Amino acid sequence: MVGFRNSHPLVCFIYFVFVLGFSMLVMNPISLGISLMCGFLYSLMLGGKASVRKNLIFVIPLMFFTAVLNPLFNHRGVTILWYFPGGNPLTAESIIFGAVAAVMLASVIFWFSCFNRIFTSDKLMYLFGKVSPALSLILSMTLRFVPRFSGQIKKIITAQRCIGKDQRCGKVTERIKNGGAVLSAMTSWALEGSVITADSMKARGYGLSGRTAFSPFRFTARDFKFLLVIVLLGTYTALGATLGELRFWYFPSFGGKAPTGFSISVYAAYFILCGLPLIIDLWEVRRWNSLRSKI
Amino acid sequence: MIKRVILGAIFGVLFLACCVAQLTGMTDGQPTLIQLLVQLLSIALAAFAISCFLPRKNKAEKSKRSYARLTKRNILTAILVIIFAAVTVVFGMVYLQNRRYYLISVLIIFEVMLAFFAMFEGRKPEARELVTVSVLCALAVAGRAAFYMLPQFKATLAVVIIAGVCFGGETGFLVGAAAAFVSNFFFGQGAWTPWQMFASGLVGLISGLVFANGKIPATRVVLSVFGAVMAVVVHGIILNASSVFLWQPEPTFEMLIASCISGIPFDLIYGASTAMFLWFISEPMIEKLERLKTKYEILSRR
Repeated sequence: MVGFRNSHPLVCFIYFVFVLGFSMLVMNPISLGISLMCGFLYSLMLGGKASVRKNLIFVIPLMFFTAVLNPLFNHRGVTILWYFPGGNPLTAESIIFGAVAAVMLASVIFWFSCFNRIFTSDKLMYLFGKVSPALSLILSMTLRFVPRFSGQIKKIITAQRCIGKDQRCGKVTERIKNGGAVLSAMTSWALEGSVITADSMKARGYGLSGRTAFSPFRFTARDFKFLLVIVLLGTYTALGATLGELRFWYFPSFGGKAPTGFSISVYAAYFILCGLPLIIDLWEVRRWNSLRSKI
Repeated sequence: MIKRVILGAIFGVLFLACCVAQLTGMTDGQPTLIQLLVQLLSIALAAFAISCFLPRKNKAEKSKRSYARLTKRNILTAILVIIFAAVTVVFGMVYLQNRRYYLISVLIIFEVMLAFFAMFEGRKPEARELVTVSVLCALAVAGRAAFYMLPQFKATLAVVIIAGVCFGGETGFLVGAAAAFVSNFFFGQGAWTPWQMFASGLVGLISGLVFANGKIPATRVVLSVFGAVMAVVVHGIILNASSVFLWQPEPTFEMLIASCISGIPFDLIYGASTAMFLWFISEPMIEKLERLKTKYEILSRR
């Protein structure tokens, strides 16, 4: 069982570009509903209940803030419900608009939580390394240095404690001074070590031409199939969106383009696009169970 | 001389294009945020055009001393970024409807960051430079990760400012942007990542430009005040604006102000912690980095 999450990083990246792009740019309640539903279910599948609960704690106040902020400051729209003490109207359209913006926010956050689950740092480094080798080297070295420094700082603290000079010894002023000494030793060690690392890199031929990089990722026939499906569905949806099939307007009055055969097919394509990882994973689970020996 | 005239002509044409775009967009009564931005842009373009036509003295001797001087490539990159940004704004105003504010702002951020990264990549940096930059990034990330339980209490911006002071604006931008990106591997990437990268990169760039020629002494009092102002004004305003641009399809100035007010406590904590860290670590850190520069000749040739 491989699952969508273990596809080639390029396939995953293009998928997220399409889904996040549509979720952030198309202000259409139907497409946003589709995106929110699929994003929620996929993050539930990837992270389980605990991660969804953690996200909800953070999403609900933000959604509330977004939904309230819009009618407070946006007074366009024809359906007036009430007048604020300042004399500005509260309109039904601005409430709908705020609610749609809140749904957009939630769907983007759920899709990003899936993104964070799938895109571990090595996958992003692999993608960026092709575009910008020097920058990608900086990023991967930084990722390596963070745990290395925290290991080193523990060593320094232990050594300082032996001579009674770590940040837990003495009065408050002495503690701050001792903590500063630990940080100072740490920084000196890191900077001097960086020069040794750099010289070692140079000695091994960093920056010479004709060198290749190891990569654990392979572009298989399966990845190619997924990529083809994603690009076809994505371009079809983008075509529909640019031709105005997904248009909704909120001001002065709320309304949308009347459904045609084309627009329904665009919604269907978008639905399949958003649900693709779920479909692939569920299908593989079914296949796994059906192939298992029944004895 | 001819180059300057051509540049002036390019900026003049862009200025006229902005004016035309404004006149065609001026149908509504009250000016929107985007129209105000275009007005600001056109003023900047006019200023550039005029400054290109003005005669000036040969500054070659003077610029040899300051290592953050504008090289020819930097000017070219800046011009390209401005042209791309102007095209983005005009295109967004004319063709996009619902989410144009978000798309325009995020595209401009990407253009600026791409220009910096391309400049860095095009310079073919040496191994020593790369490792030093990533050590600084790692210190900045660790300065965020070490205090994760206290909201907005972090040393990231302090390290970024020190990097800008010691190694110039370009490296400062790089350290800020990379530190924001990498620290989000530990805290979660999101739609806010480009804004965080841009905000802390900009702080690094500004600190490089302010302290580069040594006219303003980088003592700890000056750096603490500077750091607090940067954290609250530059970093705070960009990130508060980002939440409006991200989640409000029709941003207004009132929303921006409301968002800034709601963010004030967090910005103040960030400003105070940046000032505090700069107070304690700036002098020893700058001493160490200067020593590294003279001992190993890292990043000091510019």
